[in-house]
Amino acid sequence: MTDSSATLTTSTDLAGATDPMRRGRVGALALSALALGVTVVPLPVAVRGVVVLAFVAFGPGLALVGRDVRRLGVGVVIVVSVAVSVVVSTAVLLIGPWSGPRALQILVGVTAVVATAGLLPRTRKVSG
Amino acid sequence: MLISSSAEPAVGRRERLDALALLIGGVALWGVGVLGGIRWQEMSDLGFVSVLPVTCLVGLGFLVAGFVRALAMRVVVPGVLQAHVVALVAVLHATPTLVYGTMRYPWAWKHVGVIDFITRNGVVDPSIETLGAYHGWPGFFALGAMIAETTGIDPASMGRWWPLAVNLLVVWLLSVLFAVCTSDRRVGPVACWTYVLGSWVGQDYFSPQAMAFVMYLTAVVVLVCLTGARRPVSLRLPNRTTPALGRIGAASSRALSRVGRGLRRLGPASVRKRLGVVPREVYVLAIAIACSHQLTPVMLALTCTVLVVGAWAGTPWLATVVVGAGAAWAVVFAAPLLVDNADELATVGSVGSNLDGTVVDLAAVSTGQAVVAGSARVLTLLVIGLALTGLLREWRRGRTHGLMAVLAGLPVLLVGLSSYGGEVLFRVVLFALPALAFLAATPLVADRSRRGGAALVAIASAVLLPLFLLAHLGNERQYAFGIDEVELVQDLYATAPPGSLLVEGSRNYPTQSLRYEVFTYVPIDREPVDGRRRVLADPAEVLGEWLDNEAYTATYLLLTRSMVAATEASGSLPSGSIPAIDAALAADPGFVEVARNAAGVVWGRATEPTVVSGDGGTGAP
Repeated sequence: MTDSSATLTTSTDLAGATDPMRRGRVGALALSALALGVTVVPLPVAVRGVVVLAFVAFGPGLALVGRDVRRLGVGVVIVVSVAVSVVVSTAVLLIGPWSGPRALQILVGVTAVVATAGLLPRTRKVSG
Repeated sequence: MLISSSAEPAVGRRERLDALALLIGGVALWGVGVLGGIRWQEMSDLGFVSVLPVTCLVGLGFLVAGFVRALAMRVVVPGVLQAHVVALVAVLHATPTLVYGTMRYPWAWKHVGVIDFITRNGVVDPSIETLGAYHGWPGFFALGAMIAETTGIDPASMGRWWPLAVNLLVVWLLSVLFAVCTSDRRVGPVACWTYVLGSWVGQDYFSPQAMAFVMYLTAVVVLVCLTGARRPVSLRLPNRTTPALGRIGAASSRALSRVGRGLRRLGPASVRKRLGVVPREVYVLAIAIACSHQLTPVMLALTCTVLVVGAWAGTPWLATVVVGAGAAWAVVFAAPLLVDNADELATVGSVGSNLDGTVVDLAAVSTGQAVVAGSARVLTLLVIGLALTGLLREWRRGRTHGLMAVLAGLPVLLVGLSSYGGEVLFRVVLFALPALAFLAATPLVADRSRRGGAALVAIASAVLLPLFLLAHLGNERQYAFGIDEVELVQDLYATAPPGSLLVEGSRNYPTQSLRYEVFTYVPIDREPVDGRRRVLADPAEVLGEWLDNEAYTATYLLLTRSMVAATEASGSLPSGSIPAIDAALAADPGFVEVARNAAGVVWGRATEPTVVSGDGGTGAP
């Protein structure tokens, strides 16, 4: 903490852990992992349904929305999440070849990349 | 002092508990009514209201009473008011879903059919003859196909709950928007309440329009809340006693300066800087809307342009991106449709012809349906009247609410663009209603005592709620499908060979929901008048000719319960026509019953000529 040399460090302090943006992006990554699992592991329809719907409703939105938009509430996060899902699934449909699981996997990939990119700025230069 | 300070919170708690007790009681009574069973098949042409149990109506009364009680509290608690709004949305929009067990609206089933097309073919085909527009703007269907394929959930099951989800989201978004447009904590919830009671048009079904509308609202909310001018959206003039002429002058001056500010923003700056002013979420929403719906991008472009020019929110770059995205999508991906429908461009500016056919001819429909259509018109006019009253009253009090006035009036421009398949007035109401509801709420509660405001809201609710029930649920006799009807139709769609001809009593049934592109559809009630007359004069002879057409691999005639309701309500066929056709075919040995249940029948042709035996029986088909 009192190190005088400038270092790169990932924020693990209390403020970082309780930051809703950070938690949201970690949540998006967790939802992405679950959704990816659904496309690989055969599961009952009910489980797949809950996981995929939860991911589509929240995952991309939590990964993408900025701090200001987030303040407008979870409703906005849900709509933005659905909008991202629409754009990605439409792109896959038009570019092809289409398959639902493939579209979901690409959406998971996009979400994971955006969420990770959102987490990276937390790595900051700390100077003594 | 000590007594009053401790008694005050106790009074507030009691008031809050009163309101919540009424809320819980209302929902419970409604639940008892629904769980007790509603014989919806016995609806008259007044729709769902004709079979609603008294307990449900009393439950609704409790909800209204709870909302009014919450408004009259000494300390306004928006959470309690919003809880009533959510409960109202839930009881109004979940009830049909719970009672019917299937998705409402015949045209919603077409959307299931397009999702089915994508899952089977893996592509869209904008040049396809049937439902081609959906292929040109496939965003909603691509999402539906992705979810259906990965989860195994039937899209029709998702569609059942869609109206409830859409209305809850809309109410959420409106509560955010209204909160920044007024400092009166009662206006927002009352505006949401008014929106729910005024939203009769039924554009919340499983459709690209419903999804795009929610996205449109979200974009407006984000723009107004986050890029709005650093000033209250509701402007207060310095002097409440300013003469009218002076106020007009001041308003004009402000409008001009607003336009000037908007135009000044067009000055040179880097693209990145200009684009970056608007949250990136808005661009995502604009692209999603552009690839999902034809009309909403136009509405979004109009709104963004006005927000920028009026200096309310956004930047010119945003308006450019929104207009560009919508136009680029239409030109690049929906070009075949544009070419095929080039004659539609001729209707631009033809307000009169665009309105033709939008409004039901009350003389042509049944009495009950005339009451339903009349209720819808009265409800719309009441909301508009309240909104105009509110606008004038607020203006005289020095609050111009210019943004809301513009958002309410802008959708009227759509009438000049297209008839939109005879639905343009419904879309105008859809897009204008949020702002109209806000303006309509202001004369009810703004600057009024808590008891006075609550009393006015009670009166308004007592008038609007019955009108809403009639207007929104009045066509349920034809829009509701039982599980048996869905099964009958789906079995036909699943088993009929490609290239089949499907003759239908009407298009009003769970239509085109499976393998839709492989069939040819001929609805009897859409035939020319002469054709209909011929069919009704001798059903067996004429329909026999149709079904004997060798151009098709197989031929069927489908008659269902909802077709009977639709043709009788609209007057497209004389009352009793479909049962008469059914009876005529049953008496003719040239027809065979392919399938029948309580909801309808599928007729086919006997495969061989039938020979009438001596005892009046029929030979083997």
